[in-house]
Amino acid sequence: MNPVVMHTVARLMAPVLLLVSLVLAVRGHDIPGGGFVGGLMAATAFALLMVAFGRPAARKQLRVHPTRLAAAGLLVALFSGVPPMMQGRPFLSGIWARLPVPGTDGLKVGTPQLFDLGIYLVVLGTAMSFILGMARGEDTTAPEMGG
Amino acid sequence: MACCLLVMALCIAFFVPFIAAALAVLITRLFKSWAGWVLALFPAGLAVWFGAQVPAGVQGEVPSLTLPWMPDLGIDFALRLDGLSLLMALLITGLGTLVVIYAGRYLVHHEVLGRFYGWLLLFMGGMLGIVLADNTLLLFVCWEVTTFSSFILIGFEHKEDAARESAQRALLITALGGQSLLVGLLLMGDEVGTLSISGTIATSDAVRDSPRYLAILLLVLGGAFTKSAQMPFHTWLPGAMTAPTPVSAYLHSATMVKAGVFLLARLSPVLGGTPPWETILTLVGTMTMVLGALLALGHTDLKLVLAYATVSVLGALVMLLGQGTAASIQAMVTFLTAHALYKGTLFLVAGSVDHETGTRDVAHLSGLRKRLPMTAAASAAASLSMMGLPPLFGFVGKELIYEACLEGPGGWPLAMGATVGFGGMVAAALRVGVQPFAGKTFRASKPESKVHEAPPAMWVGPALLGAAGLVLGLVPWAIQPLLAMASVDIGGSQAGGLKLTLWHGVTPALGLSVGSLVIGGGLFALRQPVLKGLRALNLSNHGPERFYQASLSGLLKLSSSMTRVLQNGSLHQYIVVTLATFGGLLALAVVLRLGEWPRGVSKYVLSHEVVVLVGILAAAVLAVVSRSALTSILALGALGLAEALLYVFFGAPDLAMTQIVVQTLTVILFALVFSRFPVHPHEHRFRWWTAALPLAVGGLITWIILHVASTPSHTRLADFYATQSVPAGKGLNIVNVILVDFRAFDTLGEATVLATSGLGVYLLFRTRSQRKKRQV
Repeated sequence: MNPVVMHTVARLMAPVLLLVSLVLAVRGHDIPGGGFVGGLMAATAFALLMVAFGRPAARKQLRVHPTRLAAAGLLVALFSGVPPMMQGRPFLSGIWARLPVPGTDGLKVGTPQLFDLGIYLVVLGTAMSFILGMARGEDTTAPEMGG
Repeated sequence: MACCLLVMALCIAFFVPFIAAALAVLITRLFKSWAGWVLALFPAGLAVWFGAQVPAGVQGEVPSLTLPWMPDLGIDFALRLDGLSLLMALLITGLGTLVVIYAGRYLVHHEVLGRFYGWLLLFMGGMLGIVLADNTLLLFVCWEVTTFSSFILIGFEHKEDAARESAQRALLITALGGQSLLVGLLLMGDEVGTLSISGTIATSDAVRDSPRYLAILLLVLGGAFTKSAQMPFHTWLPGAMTAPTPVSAYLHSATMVKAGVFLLARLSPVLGGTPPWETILTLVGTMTMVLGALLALGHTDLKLVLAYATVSVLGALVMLLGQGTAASIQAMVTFLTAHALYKGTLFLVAGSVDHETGTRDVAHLSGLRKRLPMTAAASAAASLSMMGLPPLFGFVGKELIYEACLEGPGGWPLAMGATVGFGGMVAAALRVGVQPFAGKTFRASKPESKVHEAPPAMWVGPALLGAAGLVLGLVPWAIQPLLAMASVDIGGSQAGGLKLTLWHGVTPALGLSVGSLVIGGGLFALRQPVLKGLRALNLSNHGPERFYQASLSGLLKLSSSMTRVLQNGSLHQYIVVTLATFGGLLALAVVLRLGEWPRGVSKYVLSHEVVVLVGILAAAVLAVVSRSALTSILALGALGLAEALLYVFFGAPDLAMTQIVVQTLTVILFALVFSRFPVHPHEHRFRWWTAALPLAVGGLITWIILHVASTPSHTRLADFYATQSVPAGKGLNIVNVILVDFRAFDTLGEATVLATSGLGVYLLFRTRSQRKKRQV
C-alpha cells in the first residue's frame, strides 16, 4: 500500500478512533457501548498507528507502559468499589448522583462509570501489551509521526 | 474510660509494626546509616508499652477487644493481652528493637536495606499478631504473614542458589503445615461453635470429648511441628541460616520458631492432658531434643551449630508441654525466656564475628577476645547461660526442667534423655560461644591487624541480652510475676505459684545438671573424633532429608512429564487437547441432562439472514482449505464480521460492536504473529480425526443451542435483570448494568485475569529479545 495514504489515514483516524472509544465507554451505561469495547477500540487506534508508523511511534504515542495502564485500571476498578463500603453497603454497589447542569435535567455520574473506566484501562493496557509485545523488534526505520 | 483507652492502645500496638513496615523504605532513605536507630523506636516504644502493662496484668487485668471483621463467618478482629501474650510480646518487641539496631550496621552497605527492614517489621507485626490474637482465624492470618515474610527473608540474598533453595524449602514445609493448621482450627471451631480462642478455652472439655479430637489434634500439631522445626520437619531450619544473621537471630531462634510452641501452649487448655497429646509431644519433643543436639556437634559453622541447638531446645519445650504438669509448664515458660535471651545473643555474636573476620567456621577462629572484647563478654555470658551454669538465667531454667522431668509422668528415663540433650547443648555452647574467643593463635581470612571490635550498634544488642541473662539469673524474682502469669494462662490455676530461685540446694536435679556438664565437656574434648564420626554417618542426609529431596524431585518429574504431554510446543496438539477436553465434558453434560431430541425451533428465516449464513459457511471453508496463511486469516476475519451482522439482526448491538473490534484486533495480531514466527506451509494431507474432532464439537454445540432455544427462557434471573436494571442499576443498557453493577465482582475478576495475561505476554516477549533493556 502507498505509505502516504496509510500515513494520512492513520493520522486522521487515530484521534477519531480514540474519541469514539471514549464516547463508547462513557455512554455505555444507557446505550450500547461500555468500558470493554471502548478499551478495545482505543487499542485499534494505536494498532493503526503501529501499522502505519511502526512500533516505536505507537509506543511513544501511548506514553505509558501498557502493563502500567492495566495495573492502573485494576486499581481504579477496585477503588470504585470502596465508597459504597463507607455507606455500609457491599463492595462495588453503585452510587449515583445527578450533577446539575444548566439547560439539561442534570448529568448522571456514578461509581459504576468509574468502574467502567477501570475496565477501559485494563483492556487497553492488556491489548497493547499483546500488540506491542508481538511486534517487538519490528522495523524501526519507519518515519516518525510528525514526518 | 481508662479501660477504653487501654483497649485502643492495644489495637494501635497491633498495627504499629505494620505501619513501621510501610514506612521502612522511606525512613531508610531519609536517615541512611542512622535508619536502624530510628526504626528501632517503633519496637522500642511497643516494648515500653507492653512493659508498662505488666503491673496491671499481675493484678489480673486482661485487656481485650473484639471488633466484627467478617461477622457472617464468625471471624472477629479480637485481641487479648494475657500473661502469655505479654511475655511473648515483650520478647518480640524487646529483641526486635535490638535486632533492628544491629541490622542497621550489619547490612549498612546493602543496597536494599529499606526493603529488608520492611520485611523484618512485617514479620514482627505477624508475630505480634499471633500472640495477641483471640480469634483462631486472625491468628492463622498472622501465622501466614510470618511464614511468608520468613520465606522472603531466608531468600533475601536471592542471587545465591543456596538462599533460594532454602527459602523454597522453608516455605514448602511451613506453608503445608499452615494448611494443616487451618483445617485443624476450622474443625475445632466447628466443634465448639466459636472461633474465639478464649471462648474455646471456656468450653473446657468440648474438644477433648469430641469424636474428632484426634483429627483436630494431629492437624494442629502439623502446623505447630512444622513451624517449630520438630522432627521430622526440622530440615528447613538449618537451611534458613542462609538468611542475613539478624534474621536468624530474630526469626529462627528467638521468635518465629517459637510460634509453634506458643500455639501448643495457647491451645493446651483445650487440647492438652490427653494420652495422645502426652505421648506424641513427649516422644517427638525428646527425639528432636536429642537428635538436634547430636546434629549440632557435626558442624563447625557457627550458625549451623546454633541452628541445630535451637532445634534441640524447641524439642525440649515441646516435650515439657507434653508432660503438662504444673512444674513442666513453669519450666517451659522459664526456659523459653532464657533461651530467647542467650540464643539471640549468640546469633548476633556469630554475625559480628563473621562481619569482622570474614569467616564463621569455628575451625578457623580462636583468641578473638582481645580484638572483640565487648562481643566476647556478651558471648561468654550467653554461652554460660546456654550451658546452664550458675549464676545465669539458663541455670534457673535448666534446674526447673530436670525437676519437672523427675516429678512428671516421664520420670527418670525422660530426665536421662534431657541430660543427654543438654550435654550436647553444653558442647555446642563451648564450641560456639567460647572456642572462637579463647586460646591464643588467630587464623582468619583477614590479616589479624584489621580485625577489630564491631561498631556500637552491633555490640549493644548482644551485650544487653547477655547482661539480661546474668541479671535475671541473679535476681530471678524480678521476672517471676510475669512468668507465673504466663504459666497460669497455659496450665490453669494449678500451674500458679511459680518460685524462681537461683540455688535449689543439692538435689537430684543438680546432679543431672552436673551430669550434662560432664557429658558436654567430654563431647567437647573429643570434638574432633565426634565431628569425624558424625560426618561419616552423614545423619542429615537420611530420613526426612532424603524424603524431602525425593518428593521434591518427584514433583518436578511429574510436572515435567505432564508438560511434555500437554505442552509439547505444537499448536496443533494444544487445540486437539483443548477441543477434546471441552467436547468431552460437553458430551458428558449432554448425555446426563439433555437426552431427548430437541423440539425444533419453529421460527421463520429471513432471506438476508440466509445470505449471511452462506457467507459464514463459505468463509469457514475457505479458512480451512486455503493454501495461504494470509487468506486464512482474512477469511476468519470475514467470518467474524458476518457473525457480528447476525448479532445486529438479533438485537444485540453490544455484542456486535465488541465482535467487530475484536475481529479487527485479532486480524492484526494474526498478521503480526505470521510475519514474525516461522510458519510451516499448510499440510494438505487429509486426516480424518483432524476433521472429525472440530465437527463433533461443533455438532455438540449446535445440539445444545437448539435445546436452549427450544426451552422457554423466561427465568427469574432474566426477569430480575430486565426489571431491576433501571431502578437498581440506574442504567438502560442491561448488558452494561449487569457487567458493571449486578455482577461487577465477576467483571473485576475477569479484568484481573486479563491484566495478568497481559503481564505474562509482556514478560514472555521481554525475555525473548530485550531482557536487559527496560523500555517496552
